[in-house]
Amino acid sequence: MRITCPWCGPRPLSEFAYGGDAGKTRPGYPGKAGPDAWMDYVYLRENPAGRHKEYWHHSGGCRSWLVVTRDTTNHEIAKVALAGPQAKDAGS
Amino acid sequence: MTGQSHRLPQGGLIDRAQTLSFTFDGRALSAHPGDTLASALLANGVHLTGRSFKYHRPRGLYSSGPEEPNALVTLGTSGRTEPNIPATMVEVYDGLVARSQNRWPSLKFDALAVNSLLKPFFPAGFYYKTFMWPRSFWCRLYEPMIRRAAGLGALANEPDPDRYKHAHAHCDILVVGAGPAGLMAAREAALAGARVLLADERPAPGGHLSGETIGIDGKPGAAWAGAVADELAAMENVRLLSRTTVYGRYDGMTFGAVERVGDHRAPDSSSPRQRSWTIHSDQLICAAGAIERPLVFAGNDRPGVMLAAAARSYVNRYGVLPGRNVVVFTNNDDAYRTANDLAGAGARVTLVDSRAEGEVAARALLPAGVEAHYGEYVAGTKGRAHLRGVTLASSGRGIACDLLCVSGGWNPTIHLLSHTGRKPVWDEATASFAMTDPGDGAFAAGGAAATFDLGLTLREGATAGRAAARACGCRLSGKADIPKAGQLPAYGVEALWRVPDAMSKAQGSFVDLQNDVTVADLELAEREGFGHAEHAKRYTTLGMATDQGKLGNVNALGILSELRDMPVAQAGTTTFRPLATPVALGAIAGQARGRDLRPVRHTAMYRWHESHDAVFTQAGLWLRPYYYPREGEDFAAAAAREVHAVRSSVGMVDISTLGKIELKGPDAGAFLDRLYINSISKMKLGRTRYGVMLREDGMVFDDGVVARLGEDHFFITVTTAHAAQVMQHMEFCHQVHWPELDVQFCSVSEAWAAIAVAGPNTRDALARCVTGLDLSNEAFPFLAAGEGRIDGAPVRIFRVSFSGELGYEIFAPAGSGAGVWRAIMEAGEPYGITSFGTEAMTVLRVEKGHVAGPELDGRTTAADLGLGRMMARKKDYIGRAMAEREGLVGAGRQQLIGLKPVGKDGALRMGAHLVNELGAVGPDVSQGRVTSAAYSPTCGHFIALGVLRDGRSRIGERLYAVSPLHEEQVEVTVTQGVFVDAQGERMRV
Amino acid sequence: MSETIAGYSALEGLLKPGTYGAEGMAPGVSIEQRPHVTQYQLIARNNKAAQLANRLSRFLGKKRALAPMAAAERNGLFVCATGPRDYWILAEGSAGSDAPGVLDGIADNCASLFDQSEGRVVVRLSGPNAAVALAMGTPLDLLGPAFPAEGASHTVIEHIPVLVAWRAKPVCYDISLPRSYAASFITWLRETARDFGYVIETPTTL
Repeated sequence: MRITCPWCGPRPLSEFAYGGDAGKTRPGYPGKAGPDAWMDYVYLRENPAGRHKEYWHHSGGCRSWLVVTRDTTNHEIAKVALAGPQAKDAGS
Repeated sequence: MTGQSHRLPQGGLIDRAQTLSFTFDGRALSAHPGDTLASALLANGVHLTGRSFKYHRPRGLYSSGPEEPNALVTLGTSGRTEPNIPATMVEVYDGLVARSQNRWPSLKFDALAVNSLLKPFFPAGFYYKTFMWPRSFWCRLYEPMIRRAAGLGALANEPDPDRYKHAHAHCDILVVGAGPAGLMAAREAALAGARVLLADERPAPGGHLSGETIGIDGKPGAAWAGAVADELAAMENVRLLSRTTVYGRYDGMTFGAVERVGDHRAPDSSSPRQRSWTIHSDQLICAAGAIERPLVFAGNDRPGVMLAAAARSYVNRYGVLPGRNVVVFTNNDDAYRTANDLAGAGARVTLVDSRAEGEVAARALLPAGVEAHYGEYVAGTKGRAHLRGVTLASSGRGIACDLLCVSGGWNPTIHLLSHTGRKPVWDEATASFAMTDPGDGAFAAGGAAATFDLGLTLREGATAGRAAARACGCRLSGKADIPKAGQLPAYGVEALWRVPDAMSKAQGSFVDLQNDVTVADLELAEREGFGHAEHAKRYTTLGMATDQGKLGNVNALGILSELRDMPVAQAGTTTFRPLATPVALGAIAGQARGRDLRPVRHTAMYRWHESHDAVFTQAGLWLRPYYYPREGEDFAAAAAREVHAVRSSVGMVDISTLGKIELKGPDAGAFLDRLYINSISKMKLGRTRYGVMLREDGMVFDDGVVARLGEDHFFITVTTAHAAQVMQHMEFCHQVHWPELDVQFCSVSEAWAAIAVAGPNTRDALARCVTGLDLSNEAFPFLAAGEGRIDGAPVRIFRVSFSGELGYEIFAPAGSGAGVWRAIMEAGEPYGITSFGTEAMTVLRVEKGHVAGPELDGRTTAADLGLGRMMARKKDYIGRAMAEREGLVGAGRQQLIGLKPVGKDGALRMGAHLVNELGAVGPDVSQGRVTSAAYSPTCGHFIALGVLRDGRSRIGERLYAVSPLHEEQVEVTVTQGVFVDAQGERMRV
Repeated sequence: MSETIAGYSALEGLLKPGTYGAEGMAPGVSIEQRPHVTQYQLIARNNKAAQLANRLSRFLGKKRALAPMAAAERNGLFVCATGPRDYWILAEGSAGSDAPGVLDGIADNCASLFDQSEGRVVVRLSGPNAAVALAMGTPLDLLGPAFPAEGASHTVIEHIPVLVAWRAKPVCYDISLPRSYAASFITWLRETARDFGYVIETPTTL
């Protein structure tokens, strides 16, 4: 399997570490998020048969965290983006 | 050519000028370069090559390719012994040693052939219904018996002296198979400028052309193939891998392949034996051809029964006549070529065609003298160690013969199109499962696409090559140059899954030859409710042998569909998974074996430890000194001496393996505030602080030391075990959660060697080698951080203590690490400074009650560990919210406590459970567990840290520490979690 | 002064000069340790990635910022664009001593500088088969069209994190790896180069 890192190009799986579901955003602080919101963030995940966003870390490469859109039924990767606003630094 | 009774006087692609010697079951035989072991055995008239798995039936060569189910041999000697190799894939070299398998005492007189007589008792799945009584017999009798009878070949249990390697390759287009389709595809793609990798499992290109008499552009097929291959070899953008099987396709167009670099020569450790490849490609062209399927009837497994195309390939490619009186039994036109070629080589041929006379167009191809029967079946065979004759179904007539060629049609080889989950579709016209839609980036051409006409195959290959090149962004010019193929009969297959039961007994009709699965077994499976393809496979073991059902799967699906009265299209297939053919584990391991399985990591002081007799332990990938035994000391004595040295004078330990991270930037402090439970940004310059990090679910993740070296400059240490995870976590927090924080950080674990020096005499010892830093208690109090020099090297010094004694952690640039270590050793000599290892370090920290890895196992919170007061109230940090949830606060939590045995000699063990009384069983009996245990020379008895339900309010209680696995139970007293200097005075002097 | 120059001692005893491997043919790979390599990691501050890129390209005398994985050299400083806001700089000898001063100037107020010299060792590969050997041994598509003429990339070789830099002057590959992995890396390197025949050169003293 290969992931196309936006910076380094297509690289084999051995350069990456899986980082879990990318579907949730950490509740802010102090914020109004109660225990239920935190339980949801930490433990609850959708498990679609189809496209799914997940975090991958290019730990063996440029060490960017990536958001990968991957189809769980056939493993095809539709999109890879830098996680976070690094994306705008990458173009320069 | 003495002894090669079945070698034809001319013909074949072998080198008749040279003769090779080899042995089979100790018998000396001869062959020629270009022979496989299979062709050489046939040339020498050897028809019996093995015994079947379950019934030990005599078996002979069935095919000429990797699909061979019967002729599995063991090659090599001593550590090079390799079992279960198909003789059809072995290239003969001078001195080759081969042995048959699964027979005792010999191939001819196999004692276990008695199994054959007991066949009625060994139907499919018999072991689900037997071997159950009496229970005690299982371990004593049944299991050893089954174990001895199981399997085909045997391993040598000696180390393999051969070298294996692993290599990477990248290409635009991977073409699998260098037959007519693959060669055309590779050429067109290469001419268009694509980077092409062409892999073929044989030593030379040509695919099935090598075994046929058909010509291309007026040349023999093999010669045409050779010329195209030469053309490709001269092109810079083409890489040819011969003797290479692409065994698996994985996600993202990644492929696994194995190249048999040295298997065709005498073993030689100076070059690698095999090389496994990881291939990354953009497009795949599957030109892997097709595999012929047998016909199913009683006695279809005798030595002398062979696939039709294989029989003619022995004639055409190897110059061997596998039989002199031949019957060809077929349901399609392709096998007529076999009748033609064998008759041309001088055999007497009889043809039996299951189709009605009027439908057979190829009849015109039959040479004169070939007796043909239409609308007829072979119902049975005669002979034991070798075929003697067949019986026709309708007439009951017997025909004497020594070779029966069978053809039930062709199955496209679609593994690589299916490994990623795509299912093939039933094609009625060719009576085969084909991948009509290979999906994006993949193409099939030729036999793999269920195209069995050579002219169409050549065209298909060219089309696929051009399409793949276009898909890669290449520009195509001109038109493809398609050569002219010789004419062949049309296919005309009529599916015949088995000769009907009335004519041919189910019990003797083999569907899966290697696992001895018969039609009767499939009928049984269906009767018992396991008629679905996936169930029938597991119930009967059909398709589960080393040949993975290449000859039997499709016939089985046909038979099952008839039994279940549904169209074949609905019966479905089982799932194709890598590996398509067996691969030696050595090839997959490559260089990663033995000591090189994983990398080893050494600190800068490794050589000093080695030369001072350290006994090492593995901490992850690191080698760390465990203890340094002196003359006459065992483990316990050495550890005790080392602990004593630290408590009474001074000791030093290599802690370079700690993770270290350097942070800079205006928001460095604010960032650390959000990672640690305690406040960091308000730390003073030149100070350190013990920090604890949580996971987002509120459990403790890691601990370490934070040092503030400047306004915007921090240096943190984290545990050896979590160094990589903490770094990853921090990068995640910065890139995903708080990218607005202006902080830059990187790992500097390798840049700094680290030494912990501790003991009452430490200050005096260090004062003799540290310059540029006042180490007095007033100038450099507990938790101070500063810089100085040792042996000329700049060092960072933190006054922190893991052991509870006066202690310092010294960080030196890694290149100076060994020199600084020696300088400290020298400076401490008057005080008897002692190097200590991880065992003494563990004892010291348990004596002090300092938590470490075993206490931070992901089940404990900061409050559990007595660190609740460190948790800041007014800032956000990872884990803050979840640490406050109901289940993690309040009564019933397992809290950190100390334990000591009631009897002075009691030994405590990590992992032991804490129970109120002995003998009680049940899930709630365990009150907690021992997390860290050690013999404390300082206390004179075992001590331990543990977690205990409501532990902090149970000090003084007596419990039992039990380990049922070790049959141990010790009475213990619950104590505070510190055994030496509870007030913490010694580290503050 | 204690033990040797940074990184040298980690390779001590692992690369004895001599010719090894496949017999009867000229060695295809040349291996040499580079003992005096100063290495820095430069990370841009928030919203300063473009500014840092421009300063570097001006220093390098280039019109445009370095593309991903590209590298360029000026005054002995070999600058590698290793990440979206991340650079790795290698420099030898006197250029290495000058590096902190030069880089401080470039980093001023727009990036943070980290000295990685002590933690790494550098091995240089050259020779007619160096490219093929490395292409077979690493997951990088070194021989492919997408790789720039001079460049560098982090990758992983048999579980060892490395930085592979390919250079044009001289044509060679420099592999920078964490010093603790030196022994395992050299085992891998020698086994990889073995079938091409390799020569280990005496290290250059600068």
